[in-house]
Amino acid sequence: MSHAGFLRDHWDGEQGANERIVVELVRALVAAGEQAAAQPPADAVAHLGEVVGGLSGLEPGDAAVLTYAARLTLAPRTVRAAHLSPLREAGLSDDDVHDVANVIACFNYMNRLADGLGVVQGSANRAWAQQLLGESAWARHQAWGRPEGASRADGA
Amino acid sequence: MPWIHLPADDATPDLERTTRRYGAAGRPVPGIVAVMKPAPKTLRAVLRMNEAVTFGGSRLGRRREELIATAVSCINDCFY
Repeated sequence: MSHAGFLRDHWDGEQGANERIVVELVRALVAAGEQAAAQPPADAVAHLGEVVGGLSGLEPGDAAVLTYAARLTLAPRTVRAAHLSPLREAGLSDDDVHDVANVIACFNYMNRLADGLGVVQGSANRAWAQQLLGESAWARHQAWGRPEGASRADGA
Repeated sequence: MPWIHLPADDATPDLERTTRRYGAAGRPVPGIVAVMKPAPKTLRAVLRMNEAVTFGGSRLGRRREELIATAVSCINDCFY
């Protein structure tokens, strides 16, 4: 939530807030994760690529980075050399591509730690999380975090 | 609270040194940092990695780092 909040407030630099694009983007990303649980993850990645390619307001290269991040996160065993091509076509150097992969790996590590040990989002981001994902998603997250909590997907 | 027992921020001089930056900034130790307190050596290494890879530490710039962080966390259904 805090990362999406930073994006909302700094989309176009220090003064460039853009809540609309961040809300649309977050909902598309969450939907891709849900789709990947119900169908081949690579299909969800391909669909997400189409969705972000159609979002207005992204910077050049954003869609390529987002699609690569989705593939490396959801379907890492499907990644091939050809999947770097959109990044290069967007102007990223090999050093940039390295850093993209490194940041993706870093946040997957942090996510696994949070999910594996029950780190619950604090109340500071509650209003923003509810705006982005709805009250029910917030309630499911809080329930999941309790020691005998429910699954995040079971609607408890 | 996470699902494992965590030592206090000042349980050892090592932990106190590692976590004092948050108290000095007037805020609690973030949950994702606190959960690493059982392994202070790992905690310090991860904080150094985060400084190198995120918060503007990479060659991508802060905005693109946060874009990736948002993407990964949302796709993983991880609120962090």
